[in-house]
Amino acid sequence: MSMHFHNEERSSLEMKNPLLRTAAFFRCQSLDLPPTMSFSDIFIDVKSLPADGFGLFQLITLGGVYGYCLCYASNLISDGSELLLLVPAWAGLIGSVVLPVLGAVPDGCIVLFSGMGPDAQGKYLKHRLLPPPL
Amino acid sequence: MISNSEQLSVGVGALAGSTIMLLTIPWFLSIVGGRVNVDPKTGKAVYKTPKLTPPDSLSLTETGVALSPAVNNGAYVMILTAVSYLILQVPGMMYLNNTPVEQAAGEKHWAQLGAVLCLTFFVGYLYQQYKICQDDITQKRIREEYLRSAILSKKISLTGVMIAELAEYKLIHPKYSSHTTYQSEESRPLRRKSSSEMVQPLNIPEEFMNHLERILKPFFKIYDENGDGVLNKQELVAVFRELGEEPTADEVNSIFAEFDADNSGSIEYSEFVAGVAKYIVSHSDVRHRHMARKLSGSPQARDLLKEADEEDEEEEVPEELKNLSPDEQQSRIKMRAAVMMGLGTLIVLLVSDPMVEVMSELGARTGIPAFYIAFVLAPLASNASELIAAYNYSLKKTASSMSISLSTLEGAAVMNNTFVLGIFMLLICTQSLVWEFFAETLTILLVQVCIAVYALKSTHTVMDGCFILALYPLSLMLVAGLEAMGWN
Repeated sequence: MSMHFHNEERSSLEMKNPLLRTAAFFRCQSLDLPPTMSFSDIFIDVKSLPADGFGLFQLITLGGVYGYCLCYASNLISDGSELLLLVPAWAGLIGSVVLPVLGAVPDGCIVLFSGMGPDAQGKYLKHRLLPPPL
Repeated sequence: MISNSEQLSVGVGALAGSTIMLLTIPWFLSIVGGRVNVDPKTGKAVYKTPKLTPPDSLSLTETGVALSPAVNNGAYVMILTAVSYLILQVPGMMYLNNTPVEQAAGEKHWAQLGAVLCLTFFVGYLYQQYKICQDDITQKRIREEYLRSAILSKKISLTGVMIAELAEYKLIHPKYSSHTTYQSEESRPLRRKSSSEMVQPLNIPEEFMNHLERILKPFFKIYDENGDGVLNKQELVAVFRELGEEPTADEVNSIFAEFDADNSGSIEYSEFVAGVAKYIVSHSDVRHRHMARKLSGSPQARDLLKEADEEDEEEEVPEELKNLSPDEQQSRIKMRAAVMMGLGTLIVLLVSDPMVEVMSELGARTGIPAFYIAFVLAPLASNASELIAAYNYSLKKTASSMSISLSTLEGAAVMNNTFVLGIFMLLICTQSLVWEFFAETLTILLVQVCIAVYALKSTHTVMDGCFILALYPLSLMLVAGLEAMGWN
């Protein structure tokens, strides 16, 4: 209970000081949001979509958008690494080592995040980037 | 702690889908795209023109592709690396009757072993690839092909490419034989006809000249519009612009005079290659060509440039390349590549997690197991570019383009067997997950064995391609069948 009070006191302090407000924003502890919000909340929570046909349509649309982003990103990776073939000193290494490995990065990421459980990215970032709560 | 198995099955689906999709659909497309006539007696693909009789023939048994020894060897490597799947399969069955906690504990050691094995294969495979590429002709041809397309799409200019190549060559061979008399491959029969033709000796290594010649060959053919085997002054200017070069107005006249060694008023192929080589060498020390350009220029040469301009206005060299020296071009390219790869990786890291959640939620809402959803959808997003690349390579219908196309697909499967599976093994260790995907792993393994055995053949007809394509839906049915039999 005292912990809770402490947090509220801190929040009101941060509200007044613009510098502290900015710092709080970058720690993803936006003051208008409940304290459970984290970095991964920049993406739509799929559980919050309506549980009917409309919700399913929204989900499919969302999947389409993410899929397009992934496709675009994997093209960027492969085009970018192919560009390095133009640098003769690196060409051997690029063609034989870098190209195949980077080709497997998107699949590797999907596997990685699927194994880390729900909200894997949020957990990781919270753990790594955010300071421990006061 | 036992994690959400619905989510993990998205990962398994992505791994299985990507491996099986890459080995079946693009393989089939490559056979269709690269098919040539197959000799009905020997059963071998014949790489002679005409490549297809009748043209566009899609005969199931009498058209097909040849599989090079590189593809055969790739099949062995693929099977060897697929052994890692067994590591999970066997112990998983040993602990089948234990509680999940005991199962996770027992599997942990096997997963550690598997992770080490995957890592070993991964490093070993890359090392082998690197060794092969050092003296592999196909790798060099792929690169030359890419250099050509980069020049065509104005990513870099010809001097930008070749000066870097020459510098690298000198670095590797500090004492190349000087004063090699260079003769173009095509000039040799010509020499008897015209005794006046003189190819001047150049202080350029022959290997480098052959490299240059292979890059230039298509450009010469395209710009020799009337097909008389020689270039006139206007055509020469056009070639130079296509190569991303911007000779000054003055240079055009002197270049033409210098190229035309026998003063015939036109430039033969051998003169062209030798001339371009000289041009490159003479420009390797000039850093700010564009400065000189502003100061000089005879009216006659200006007219010529103008004419060439009018002919292909849309093929202008972009501003960003115009004023860059070869060194600046090289560093620009490194920068751009780094930005593209960095941005791509960032987007992948950001979007993968929500994508996984969408797929598992899609499974939960439709009642279709998330494995099948990821099996179909994940490769669409992450492997579409590999599919298109394999098909485009095969369209050249040569033995080496076929070899490149199919070996790349095998290489992608090896990466999934080592890199991606290795991530799984590490996850099992660190997150104490229970591996319960025996039907899925068995299917991945079976498909790889089928493809590898198939890839040991020397020819694949379109009929073989259809069988390989059929493995894709069959593998989904196999998973469903095995699960129905109570494997999971």
